[in-house]
This record gives sequence, structure tokens and C-alpha cells, in this order.
Amino acid sequence: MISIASGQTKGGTGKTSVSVHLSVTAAHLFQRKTVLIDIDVQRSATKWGMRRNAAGPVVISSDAASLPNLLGRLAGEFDFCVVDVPGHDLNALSNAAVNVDLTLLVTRPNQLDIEPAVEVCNVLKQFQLPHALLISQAPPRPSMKLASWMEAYSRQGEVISTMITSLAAYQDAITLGMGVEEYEPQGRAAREMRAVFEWLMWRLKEKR
Amino acid sequence: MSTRIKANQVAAAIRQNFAVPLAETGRRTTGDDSRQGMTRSTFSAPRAAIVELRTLALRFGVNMNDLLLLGVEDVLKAAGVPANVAVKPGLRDKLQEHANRPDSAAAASQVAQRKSGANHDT
Repeated sequence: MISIASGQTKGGTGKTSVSVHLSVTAAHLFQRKTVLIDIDVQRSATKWGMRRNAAGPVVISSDAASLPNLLGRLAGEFDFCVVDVPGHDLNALSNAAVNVDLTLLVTRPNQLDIEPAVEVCNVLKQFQLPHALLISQAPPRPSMKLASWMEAYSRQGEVISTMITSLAAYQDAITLGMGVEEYEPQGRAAREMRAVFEWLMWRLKEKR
Repeated sequence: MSTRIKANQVAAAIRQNFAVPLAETGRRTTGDDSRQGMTRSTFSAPRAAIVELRTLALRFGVNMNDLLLLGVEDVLKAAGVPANVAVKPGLRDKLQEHANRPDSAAAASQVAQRKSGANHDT
């Protein structure tokens, strides 16, 4: 089972949105047996799962302390796992990071969000824990400044080239208990999520 | 090392990185630490980087918006940037195809002519 954690130290960066849409893309487009583990006390991913009518992904509510055992139990049953990690909880983020195959640091493209995300990446790198930055809520037409920053950062750390754009489809789909792959399969949001999934598979295959 | 112990160490290291000693809050050091450099001047766009990106876009006949949206670092790697840059699957082949086209220079010229006559926000 390939496991991904979606986290950041800040709230509201789009972690749960990425968790939800990535899990649907994995389950429905790429036909992976997928489980989404919600360890955020807000239970946003769990509530989204309760609004769903479609089969897959399986959504499980848990907590950071139970994560290691839970991942071990699920490993034989699922192909792909996304862990939705709460913001403002270093213990949960750290616990997830040491137990999954790769941690996505989901961050908005502004100084206040990126700064702590880079600090976390530096620590994860120090502990040799696979990770990557994922820019979320990006403007529809990214600025040269953002592109330049990404290029510069990519020389010292991993940042996924695909940015998650600030599109209504992401939130509209969540409201309906769907993922963008189901809500608007031909849309830009679905393409972005596919690209993120493909990048993850390529990166983790290379590391194995 | 158990994962629980390692997780505690990771959390402690993150907290330590976040901490700013009170005595230093009035003045931020710069130094030559690349880590501090990345967080010091986020989004200041060096002119050289902008020129390089434009040049690469023209060279490979790639639309500038596509370049920004689909993989800046992929283009840079194809142009010889160090190997630790992640490459999005498929795009390297696309860029190589562009570079190998007999008319790639002409195509780049056409792109430049279109851009000189078009409005864009780069």
C-alpha cells in the first residue's frame, strides 16, 4: 500500500481538499483500492465521506496515535492511502510523516504559509523522510514571481510542478460529497489532480 | 528507532526551527545559509530568472502559461539544470520532441512574434 499524508502546520491551506480529491482520483480514475484516513478532529473529510453516494474511497476516522497500527492493518487490504493531517498539530504531522511513504506539505503561495512549510521540509529532509511541497489555492495564471520561486526552491527541495489552482470546482465537488474527477472530469481541476497523482506514483516508484 | 520516538524527534526539531529567540526578533540575519535565503525573500523575482524562463519557453516553443502551469523545472532540466529537479512524466519527451523538430527555431521565432503582438501578463 502506498501511503501519502496531506499536511501543513497552518490551517486553511487546502490539505483536506487535496486529501479528498486525490483519494477520489486514485479510486475512480486509476482504479486503486483507496482509503482516506481522517485524523483531524474537525472531521471535515469524514463529513464529506458521509455525503457521498459513490463507492470508494473508504473513509476512516482515527487519530494520530492510532495511525501506525491502523496503517499496518490496512496495508494488505488497500493499494493507496491518504492521511488527512490537521493543521496546527506538529505531533500529528510528525507522526504521519514517519509512518507514510511521502508527506505532501500543502501550502498557499504566500510568504506566511510557505515560510513554515519550508521549515518543515528542512526538518523532514534532515530525518530523510520523503516529502514534497504542493502549492494550493494558486491564482489561475501564476505569476513569474511564483514560478521563479518554485524554480529556485526546486534546486534544494522537492516541489510538485503542478499547482492546485483556486477553482470553484474543488469546493463545489466537496459540497456535493464528490471529487473533481467525478464532478467535472474534463475540467482543469480534474487534470491537476491527475497530474499530482501521476507525480506521486512516479516519485514513489523511483524511490522503491 | 521506533516510529513514536522518531515522530517526537521530528516534532521537536520543527518546533526548534520555528522558535525565534526574543533577543533576535528586532534584526533578521541573512548569512549565506541557503535555507534562510529561501524564506528571506520569497517571490522577489530575479531579472535573470525571468529572462531565462522566457528564453527557454521560446527555445522549446512552449506557451509561457503552459510553462508556468505544467512544469518550469521540467523545462529547466531538459535544458541541463542539475538532476535533482523532479521531472513530470511525459513532459520531458514533449520538450525533447520540440527541441528535435527541424523547424524548432522557426517555431520559436513565430512564438516570439505572436507574443510581441499579444497581451500577456508575464
